[in-house]
Amino acid sequence: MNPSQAVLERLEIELRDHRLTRRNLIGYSAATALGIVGANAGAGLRSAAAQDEPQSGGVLLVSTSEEPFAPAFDSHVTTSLLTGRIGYLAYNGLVNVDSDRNVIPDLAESWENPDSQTYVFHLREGVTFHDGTPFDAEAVKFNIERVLDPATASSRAADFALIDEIEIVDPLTIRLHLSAPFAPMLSAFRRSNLAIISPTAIQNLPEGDDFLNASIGTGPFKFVSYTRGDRVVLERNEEYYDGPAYLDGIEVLIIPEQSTALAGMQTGSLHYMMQTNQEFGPQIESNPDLQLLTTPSTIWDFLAFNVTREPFTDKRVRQAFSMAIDREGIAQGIYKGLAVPAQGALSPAFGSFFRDNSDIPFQTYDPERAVALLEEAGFDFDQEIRFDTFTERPWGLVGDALVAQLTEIGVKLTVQKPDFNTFAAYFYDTGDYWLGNSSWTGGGVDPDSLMYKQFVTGGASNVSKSSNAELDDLLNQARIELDTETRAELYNQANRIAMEECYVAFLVHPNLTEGMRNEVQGYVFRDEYAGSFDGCWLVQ
Amino acid sequence: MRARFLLAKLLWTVFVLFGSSLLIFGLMHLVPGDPARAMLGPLGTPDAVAALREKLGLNDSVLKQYTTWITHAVRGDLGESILLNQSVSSLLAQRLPITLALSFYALIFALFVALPASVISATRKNSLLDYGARLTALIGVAMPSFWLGLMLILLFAVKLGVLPVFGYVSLREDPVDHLRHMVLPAITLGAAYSALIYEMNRSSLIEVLQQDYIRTAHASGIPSRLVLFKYAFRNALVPTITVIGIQIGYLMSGALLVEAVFAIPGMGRLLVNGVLSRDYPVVQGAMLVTVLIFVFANLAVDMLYTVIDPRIGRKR
Repeated sequence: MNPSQAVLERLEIELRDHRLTRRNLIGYSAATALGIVGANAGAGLRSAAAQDEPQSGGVLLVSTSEEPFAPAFDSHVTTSLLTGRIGYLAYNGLVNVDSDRNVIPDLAESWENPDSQTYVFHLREGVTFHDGTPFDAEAVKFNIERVLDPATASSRAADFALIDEIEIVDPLTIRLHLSAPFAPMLSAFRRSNLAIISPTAIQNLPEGDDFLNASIGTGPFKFVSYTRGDRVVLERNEEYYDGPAYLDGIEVLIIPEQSTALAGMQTGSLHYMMQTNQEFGPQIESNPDLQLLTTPSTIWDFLAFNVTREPFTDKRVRQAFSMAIDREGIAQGIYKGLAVPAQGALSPAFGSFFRDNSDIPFQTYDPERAVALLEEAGFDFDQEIRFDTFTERPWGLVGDALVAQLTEIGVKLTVQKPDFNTFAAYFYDTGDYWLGNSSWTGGGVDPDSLMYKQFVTGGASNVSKSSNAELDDLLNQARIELDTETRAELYNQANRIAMEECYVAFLVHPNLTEGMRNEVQGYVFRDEYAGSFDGCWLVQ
Repeated sequence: MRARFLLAKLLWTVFVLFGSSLLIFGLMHLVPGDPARAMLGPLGTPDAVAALREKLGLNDSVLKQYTTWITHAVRGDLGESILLNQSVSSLLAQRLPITLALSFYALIFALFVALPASVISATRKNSLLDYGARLTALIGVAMPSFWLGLMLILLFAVKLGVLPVFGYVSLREDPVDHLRHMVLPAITLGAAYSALIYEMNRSSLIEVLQQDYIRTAHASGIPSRLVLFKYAFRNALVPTITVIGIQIGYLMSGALLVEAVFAIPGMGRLLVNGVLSRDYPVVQGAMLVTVLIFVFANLAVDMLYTVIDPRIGRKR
């Protein structure tokens, strides 16, 4: 059954039983648009769906497999998606992003662009931070300046680097001036990218302490406690600007083993599993108490070539390696079908930015042509090439598959497979590698985050160390171009160059996959941070 | 004599601790990767990583870092966790009792199963019962604790629903719930340990039972129960206690896996996370404490010998 079919069937049942409410309808249309697989459209969902009216009360128990390491709740700095999602519960942004990747108001009620380099935000009135500090233009200025301060070491600084003037017009109006037009500017202010943190909380950090121990924002849930190794506890913010949440609170339990978390889901000691490994998909799907939420993502898995090192200085060798990879096999075997083969950097989940580029042969499985290309290039089949991957799942499994497939065409590899931290030291930092696999995620809002720093000459994430003047031009133009159609065309041209040149072999776009118990209602599952518990309630 | 024996042991302990501190520190700093990278993740730019490294003092020479650490450590200051933003001593104070409790229950479980089983096996050598027990023990040693834990969860928590799947409740908070949460982890951790104790006690009991003084005791008409427990069992215990002592290390390392499977916030997980994120102060502190426990457990075993077998440690 395809995803939309499942949703439509549910809709039919609801219509027949006259249980449809406006809220359900909105939920369904969002789900249909996203193609969410309601895996258990049968009995479990029906009984849960019978609960139309939201109920207040109850604590939602969510699992994470990762300890919220420092900088933990300092969402200006943390790059961990899982830790970021805990902070997300307590923060707002100036703007947010809806299921269709449209920018919608959050702490800014409205905004305007008097010209392409100026942004004026009109802020919501009467909002206070959890610690009582009033939210105003001063607080926004403080947050932007902190991210830009090199001492903060924020990886988001690049998103705001073009801001050269911050002017407080009045307490509820802030005007930003950019040194050049920058198309991704507005979405950079989204809740998951620039959390507005209480300036008082940051100013009160003890001397020498750069990390926030608590998430003190304006969001729907207030931070209560974080017990290392155990759980993060949040309670409802009664003063939330959009009205208090239905849930009394949320507890995020730190459960390192996903098999254990899944057992917890089965017994009801957990309601929700964040970032479920795709390998558990079939198990969740077959359980009538659970739902498998899965949606295409903008993440791309890749095999990177160090183009400054032999034999990958030769484009034909890179193309051959890329064509030796069975992407469909990886999608099915490792991701249990919860991934789609990748053609380029932009996945079908990008909607209007996605273009079909299947006419380019180099990112498609063709082992015979791969061997022919290697022979043409005079490739030495006897040389041993070092291949770097790391143990963490699913990357380690993808690495194993790549090794097997490359060995298949006669390439000899020496595999190095340490933990991520060791791998990162030479793969990302020193660039001392030949061949290795990893993946990129950019928050899935603007293509810039998934292409610019990965392919521009000297880009911070350009692990291939590629340098292509034409590609640079296209990426730089796309940054300042404000017309979406033209931008899409520019990114597509850039993408085609990256695909032809094979700076990386694009592998698959894994789906975002999470498990949820049927008693969780009103949850909006979406790509950006995989959803929000804001409007959630529990059937008790 | 006992005082001198003790003093020698204590001096040895200090030496072992110092040696371990060098080893732990050296090994951690030899491994590539560092906490700055762990904090910034794959998206962190090399510049940001370098800046953070400087801020965390990771650019100082390893020798300087070691001397700073060790001079503080001898004064009881194990430093601050880089990634958990809490002092290592307070982290250990929270985590160590949990791991010790888990190890204690595992030990109790192991003894409770292994000792009676070994007596039955030794007195009924080569019987069906003996074979059964030995086969079970073999499986116990061979079974990965990780797998055993998951199977126990599936059976007792998911299928039967009688015990919780994961988590930890402190003894003070709710003693009954505390025990309920500890049953499956303790069995998981204690299974292989139990099998080892069983094997050791069985063979040593069989050996003792064949000795002349036992035959003499039987011949003089002492009831066989009394012969078994008063004369044989006690002497057979000496090698068994050695195994128990040495394998305390096994309990501590086994806790790494068991705590991960059952999501117990003990020291094992603190250590694993510390290693993966290169949180040097945490790893150094936790390792040092582990070494200390290991050394003292063995010291305690040495002392126990002299109680069980008064010939040991006495001037000949």
